[in-house]
Amino acid sequence: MTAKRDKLLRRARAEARKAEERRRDRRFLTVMGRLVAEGLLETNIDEVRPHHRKIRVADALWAGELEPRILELLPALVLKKPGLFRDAHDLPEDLAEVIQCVRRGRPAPPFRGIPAADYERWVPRIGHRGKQPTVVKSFRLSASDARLLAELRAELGLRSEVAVVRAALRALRAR
Amino acid sequence: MELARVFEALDAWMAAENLAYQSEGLAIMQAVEIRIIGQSALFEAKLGLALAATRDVDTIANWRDDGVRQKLVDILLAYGKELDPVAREAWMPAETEYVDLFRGKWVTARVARAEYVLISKAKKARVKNRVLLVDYLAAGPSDLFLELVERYQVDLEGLL
Repeated sequence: MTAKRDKLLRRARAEARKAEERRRDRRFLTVMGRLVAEGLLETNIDEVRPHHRKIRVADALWAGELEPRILELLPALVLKKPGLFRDAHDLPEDLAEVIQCVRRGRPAPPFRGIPAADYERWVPRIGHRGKQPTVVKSFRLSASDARLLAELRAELGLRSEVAVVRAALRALRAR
Repeated sequence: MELARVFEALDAWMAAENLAYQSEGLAIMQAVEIRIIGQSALFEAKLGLALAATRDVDTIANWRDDGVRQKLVDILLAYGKELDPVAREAWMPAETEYVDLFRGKWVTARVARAEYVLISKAKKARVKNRVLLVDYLAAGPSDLFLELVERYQVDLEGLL
């Protein structure tokens, strides 16, 4: 039992040494530094220096292997705070798929070991608080319906035609 | 962040509110015990492990008055933190021991001992906490932790 345990602890020490090296890597320190500066993460790792430079998605994915809380935040960050990244337009396939699912309100797959529920809960809590991503829906309107929509927008003093549709939906629901 | 300050502020607020209620002949708010679990508890334990945490503070509490819970939310926000909305769903061993972090007239805050937090993570959130658990093993696990590993049949080999 003790020999087995000793072997286990030796392996743990070897792994921990590797993790310690990776924690000193520029990619880990840069990503953590930005997320700490944003108030999204806190850490007791002294080498992490908060900063406001843009980070790379690939670096966040790399750092996320060491600190999965980065992966937990990543989909919501790409969706709600793309300005944090140099390259939010150029996403790996699995991250792009997750983003599409969240954006369209479809059931999302786990993301690199993080269950969907764990990363989806950050979406309304990052950027504009409580704001969920909107879904694109297209409808064909007759010319008279389109005119009516425009007239209602003006009459009701709403900012956009979609605001008319939203108000009408709520009025219908309240009947 | 010094978590104790948050609870000190909550205690001071409750003291002032209860004084006002008493003077108006109204029922006062009941004392509350708040238990801190999760990553916040590990930060308080000062284990010397490299830690990162989101802004969520995981707590279990006997909220008798939602006003008190809401005030805690407000105080935490002032420190850039949030009350974890799903902390109540977190599993902790029934025998978890808690140590005092703050003891006021109205608020008692207690922190789960690190071993119980770590066993909870090893049992229920292995992927997210694999590196943390490996670091802990490498630093030399306590006898209590190893006892809990046996009791809850946690597969440590699978972490490596």
